[in-house]
Amino acid sequence: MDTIYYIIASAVCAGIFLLVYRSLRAPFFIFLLAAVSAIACASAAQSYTSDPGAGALFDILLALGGAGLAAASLTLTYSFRLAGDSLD
Amino acid sequence: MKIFIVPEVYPYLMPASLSLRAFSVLSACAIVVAGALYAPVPPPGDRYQAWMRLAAGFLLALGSLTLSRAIGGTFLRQGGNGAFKALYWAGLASAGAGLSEALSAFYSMDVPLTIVLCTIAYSASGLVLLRFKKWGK
Repeated sequence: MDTIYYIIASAVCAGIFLLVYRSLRAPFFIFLLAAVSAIACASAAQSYTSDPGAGALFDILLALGGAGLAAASLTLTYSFRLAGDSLD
Repeated sequence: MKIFIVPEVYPYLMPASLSLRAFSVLSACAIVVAGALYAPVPPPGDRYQAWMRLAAGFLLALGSLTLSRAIGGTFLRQGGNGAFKALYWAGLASAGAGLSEALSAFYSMDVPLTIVLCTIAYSASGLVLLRFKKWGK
């Protein structure tokens, strides 16, 4: 039963960030959408089965999510820098 | 003159308010504790899988911390609004999920639960962002 809740939570999270990207439309939000979707897919994959292969997929998706978050933050910093609002 | 640099540097050194930072760090700690308390998953048997978990967790925690730092240095630099404060909070809270994934290489942790808590935090921040788009607050 937990599996269904986990999959619903993941789908809702990815759907909300898709709406956020569609309404705010900035490069930062597409990276954020990719990262959050990867994390949500990882959550769904891990809850669906306890197969070791699914465990490896979970790790890879989490790593991709982390890389997506880092890419989003670099995009954000770079776009503010381009706009002349440098951090340092 | 150097003194004119100070107002530029000062908000960067204090990216978010102390209460927001404290709440975010407490949320991350709560996620790690929740993962350690309930239905622990045993640590992996082989070394390769342990390294994979450690690397994935470290990357997720690093990405989350970078995101929070970037939001603190840009959107929240002049005080910011609730939407980006919520995103800052979700970013730091997901660092807790990354930390618990890294810890699961050595200890029994319920990592799926921590990831679901992290997705709930992101969903909440996404809803606040949508509200920000609609009402501008």
